Amino acid sequence: MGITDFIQNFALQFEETDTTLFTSETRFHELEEWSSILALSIIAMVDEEYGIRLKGADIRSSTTIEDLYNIVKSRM
Amino acid sequence: MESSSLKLSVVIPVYLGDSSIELLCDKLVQILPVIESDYEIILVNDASPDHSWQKIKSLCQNNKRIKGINLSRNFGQHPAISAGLKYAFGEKIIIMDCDFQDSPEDLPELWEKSQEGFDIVMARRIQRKESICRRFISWSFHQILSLKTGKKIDPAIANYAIYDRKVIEEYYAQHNNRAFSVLNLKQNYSFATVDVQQRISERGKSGYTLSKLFSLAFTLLFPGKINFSKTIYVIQKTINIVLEDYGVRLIPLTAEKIEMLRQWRNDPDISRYMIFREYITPEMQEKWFEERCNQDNYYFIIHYEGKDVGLCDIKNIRYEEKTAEGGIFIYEKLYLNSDIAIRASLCALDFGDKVLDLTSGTARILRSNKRAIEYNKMLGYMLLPGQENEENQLYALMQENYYKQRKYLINLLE
Repeated sequence: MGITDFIQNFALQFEETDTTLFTSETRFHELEEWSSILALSIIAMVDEEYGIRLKGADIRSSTTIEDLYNIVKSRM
Repeated sequence: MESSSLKLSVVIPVYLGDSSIELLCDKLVQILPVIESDYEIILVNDASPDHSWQKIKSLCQNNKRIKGINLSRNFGQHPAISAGLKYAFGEKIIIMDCDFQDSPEDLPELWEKSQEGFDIVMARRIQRKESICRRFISWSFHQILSLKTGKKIDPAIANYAIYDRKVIEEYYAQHNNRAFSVLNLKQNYSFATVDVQQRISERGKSGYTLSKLFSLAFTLLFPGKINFSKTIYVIQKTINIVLEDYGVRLIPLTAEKIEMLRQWRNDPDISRYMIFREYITPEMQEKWFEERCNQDNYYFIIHYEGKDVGLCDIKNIRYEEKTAEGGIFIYEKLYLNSDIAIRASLCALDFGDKVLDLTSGTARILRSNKRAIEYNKMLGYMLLPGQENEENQLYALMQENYYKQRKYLINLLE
């Protein structure tokens, strides 16, 4: 799993946000489209793509996409 | 049954208990912290014709560890126990009578036995201090039960017992909402008895007359399904019924919290999504609280990680139509747009479904609040026909849609 692939999968969960806004440094909680449903979608995506079960606290404690990526990577 | 967070719950059905219940609670409050400090006491008033409910309300107001449940009519001891078990959070659950026939002084010994790993520890009453007539009635009662169930029923064993939470949970998983009956428990639990001295009832006689005993036998043998929506009146101001599930706590709104809530509601980040967007004065808030906090409206503070983070409600309940209106907002920024709102919604909706027996719900959402619309759709809400152009759109949630979505959400959250 590479971070580029992770960011791409992360961005795919969004419908309205410009894909160019997604980088490893993106503070995803601050995105206009960010919502509870997207939090769940990210949990589902990580489970499906990487076989890792994230918890809500993992998402809350992450600021950037890279933070979340590092959590996922550490559990693989 | 709510999910476990406490170590110990004590469930006490109360009938003709106004002369004993305060003293019993005094004793329990002295004894329980010695065996386990993390406890709660649940008093279930079985429509007692005396002043039991007034006493219970007063006890609840003075001690946050005491919860009260008021049944709308006299259902009998075992349905009353079931109503209490529904709200019990403890890992271990004690069931005892309210009239000192079950003495709190015996609790340490029962507790000690349960700590040896037994799933069920029952008090075995010795030297029954009862009249010959009553002993005969009691003996007959247990003979009938033994004959009917094919199980040897020891008449010295009554309700007084400590159960592991799994015993109660498995019982309700198997028997749905049926009244709790020890006779219907599975056989494979580890079981112990502790001999205790039977005390005479505080009233001098048992609340269970001959006719009541036969009624009890019937209930034990054929435990009926309990319709909680009709049996339980919950008074939020005096009852500390806390819902706990999915990792969050929903704590009934109390007068102490209405100023905090008022400040939340007046925050533009919250009020702009509300149908009522005017500034709320302290007087308006107090009036609202007085008018709204009753059995037709449940307002819960969402509590997570030791903080009050938001509010959710089930309001305008129409029990006859089995429907109500739901709402939620998260105030604490850290928990905005996170899983916490979903957890709280599931907790509240399960309460509406399982306890209030509602089969549908509605939600009013501003058409401009896309996030809330998507959120409610995720829970299974659907926009009602003809609402497309309304500013305050009306959404409806049907039970089957909720079940479907709930399953999906639980799978992701667990």
